[in-house]
Amino acid sequence: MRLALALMFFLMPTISSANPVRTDYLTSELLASVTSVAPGSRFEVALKLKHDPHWHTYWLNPGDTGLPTKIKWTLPQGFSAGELEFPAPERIAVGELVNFGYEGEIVLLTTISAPQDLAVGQSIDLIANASWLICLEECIPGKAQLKLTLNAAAQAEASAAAPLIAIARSKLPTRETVAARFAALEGGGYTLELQGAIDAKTQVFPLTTQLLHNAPPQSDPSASMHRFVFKQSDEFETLPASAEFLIVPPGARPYLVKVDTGAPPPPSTGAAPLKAPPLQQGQASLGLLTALALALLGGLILNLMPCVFPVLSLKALSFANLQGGERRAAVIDGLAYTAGVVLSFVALAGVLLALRAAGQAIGWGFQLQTPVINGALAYLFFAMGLSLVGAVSFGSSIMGVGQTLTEGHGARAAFFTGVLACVVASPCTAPFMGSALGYAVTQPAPLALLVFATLGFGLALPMLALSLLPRLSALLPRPGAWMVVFKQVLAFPLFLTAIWLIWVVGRQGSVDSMSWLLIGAVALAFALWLKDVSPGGGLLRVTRASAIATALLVAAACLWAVTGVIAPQAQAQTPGASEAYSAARLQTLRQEKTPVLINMTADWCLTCKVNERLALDSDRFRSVLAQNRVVYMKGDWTHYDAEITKFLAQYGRNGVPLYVYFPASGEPQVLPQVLTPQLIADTLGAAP
Amino acid sequence: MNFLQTAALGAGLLAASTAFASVKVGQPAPDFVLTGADGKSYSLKDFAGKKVVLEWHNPECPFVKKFYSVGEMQRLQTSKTADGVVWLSINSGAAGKQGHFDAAGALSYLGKNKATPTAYLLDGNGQVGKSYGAKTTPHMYVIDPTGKIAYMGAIDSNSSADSDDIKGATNYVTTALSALAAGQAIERSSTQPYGCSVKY
Repeated sequence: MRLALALMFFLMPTISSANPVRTDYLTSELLASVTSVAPGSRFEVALKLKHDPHWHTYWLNPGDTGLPTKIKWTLPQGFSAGELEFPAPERIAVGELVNFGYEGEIVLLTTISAPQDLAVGQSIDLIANASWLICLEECIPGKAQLKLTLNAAAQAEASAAAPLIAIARSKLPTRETVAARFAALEGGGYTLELQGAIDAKTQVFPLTTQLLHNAPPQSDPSASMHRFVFKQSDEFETLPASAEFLIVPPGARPYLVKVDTGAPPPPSTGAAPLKAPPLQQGQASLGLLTALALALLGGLILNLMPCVFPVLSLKALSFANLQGGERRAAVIDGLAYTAGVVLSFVALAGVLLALRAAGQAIGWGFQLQTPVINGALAYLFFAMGLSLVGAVSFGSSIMGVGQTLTEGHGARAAFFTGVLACVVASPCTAPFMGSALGYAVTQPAPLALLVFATLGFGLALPMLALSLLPRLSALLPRPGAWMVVFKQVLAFPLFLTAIWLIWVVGRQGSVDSMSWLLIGAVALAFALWLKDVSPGGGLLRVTRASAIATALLVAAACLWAVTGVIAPQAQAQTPGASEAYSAARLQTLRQEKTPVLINMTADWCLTCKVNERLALDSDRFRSVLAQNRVVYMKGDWTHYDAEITKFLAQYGRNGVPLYVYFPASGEPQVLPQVLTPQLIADTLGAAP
Repeated sequence: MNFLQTAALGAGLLAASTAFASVKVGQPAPDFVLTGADGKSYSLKDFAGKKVVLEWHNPECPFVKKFYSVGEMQRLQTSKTADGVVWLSINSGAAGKQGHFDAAGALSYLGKNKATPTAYLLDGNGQVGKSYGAKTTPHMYVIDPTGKIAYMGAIDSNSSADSDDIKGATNYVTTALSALAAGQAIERSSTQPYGCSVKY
């Protein structure tokens, strides 16, 4: 028996740790990952803190109050210690204040390096003077001197604490370079946008102090880059050049991210700060009349947009129907339609202005930046197409408010057709509209709303003319059997519009969100078809009603599912073709006197896509870029992006596209909204 | 708890919780009227035209003791008030919480520690503390003669509870007051305060 005990004692690995030290409400212990240290090697030393229940110590950034735990090392000659590394903290609320710290048992790690000329057999004393602040409601500063004695040997030998330390190491945050954007919001506050596997349960802790309020940020998962909105710190002094964050995804390893804040360089570096482009003054002097004229023209042109045209052809059709005695009804219809368009534009503009006043950095076309709205519109167009082609019909309709409202006759139908036309037309900033809208948002609200109302009026004008001028409507062909065919033909542009919207949702989300939408569309079609099936007996009636309800619920659920799908990584781009826009990067490039071409685009902007197809996606374009050593930066405004909105505002714009060329030296040039390859070649090739 | 009790509790909480504000450097300092330990009433308006230092205090907080135990805070108070600066120590601790003082307790503390602020003010319901966004003890505010906040934040640059760390630190309050006297801009006008949390 004694022999067995002796053997056990002999074989038991020596645990290299100091006696744990007990202080107020805390037990601290020093542990090493090795018992023997090899020359020139590195090993880990752990500071294990065991808190009494409910007492806590603090993280590197303690939050509103508190002090982080620190270690002052006394090491033998030649040894060096790295930084004290902390695991992910929790938010601890003390009344109105927010701190970042730990309860229970935690392990802080330090990597220690041994010198190459370490003499084997030498005894090594590692002394850690640890200090902390431990609090419940009251705070008690604590400290302990913890000592570890190891020995130097030819080879390192793991200690009994090694597994514990390895587990602790695996929980410590790593440093990652992920795509991240940091921007200030108008009206105060900041946003942090991150790419990666982020969801609503991911926690974000600021490491940089005196920048952000320590309360949990608002989390917006709907964008392709997950967005967190922070308030400004009460102790804010100046914007630092960069900000660091700890990201803690649930069930995964936390990581640290460092992001440029886009703060201007301090004047002492001698670099000339970026001047505000002179175009700003030019835009302000646009004048109200010019803006109104441009708005009217822009509205007229909007009629030709493929998303608007099918909707309006329906209305034109109904005017073709109203001949002779129904003239008066036609006039009322035309006026109601105009009212619908104008009021919708004014309402949308009102929402835009209100949101901007409340501090959101958004621009025109914002309503198409949400996948749900795009999906809902896709449903609408699909259902309308089905109705036109004759697959379903609407008698006493119990669903599809948009259907009956735009399908029927009468002032109410006309009014809601106008509303529909506005909703779909707004994101495509046609030529002429850009400056007018940019002007509008710099003016006081009544003037801004007037510009938008004029835009709406321009859109409504052809329809209004048709309804008011009998001569014009006489130009329309007489009703006949052909009208049924025409009606069916019109279904197809509507289907194409629905496909366009589904494509935008696909770009905003992924193939999965498109699939959800398509499933929902089928469910919707099923519900519409079922509605027309003759009811039969009482029980069948009930069954039919509940089946319709279920199908509609499925369609709605699919729409909801669209928002839940995580967006894919940044779209695969032709290598070397373009960079993602970043204000900080632009600044750097301009300081280096590199010519830059900026393309602000969005997936739902047809003008943008056409320009890209014609002038910006070709081999000729790429060779022009390479020849003139121009850096091509693309800003994707498909979703909300505060940095791009700020850039647009600098040039008096509120929507996309916007093309700006920054030559190596000289003022930036704004290119026209309709691009040709020759224009690009001339602009980029011009002598610097 | 029955409905009436719940409603009463809710109403009480609502009444008790004043909004936690935050002030910014360059903004006018919020006015207040508080009773001092000497029983007199003090208002910020009374000191218009003078430089004012506000010091949030909790006698039992280790960070406050860091300065009082070695006589450092007292030294500052004496030397600055001699220069014509108004030094107001404010206690926003709620009754029953750590460091709360009544008038007698405050006077006794001041006598024992030989502290010489212009006045020691009792903010028992925490309203003044919250209107300034005072988070810690000590939390320092320097108000310029025009009534605007010139400095707010930590008392010095070494955030620790150790009195030995006072010597090597930059005292932000002294720096701010000197800059004001010389008519210069204050370099660090807002710093992260350190100390125990104010026990509202």
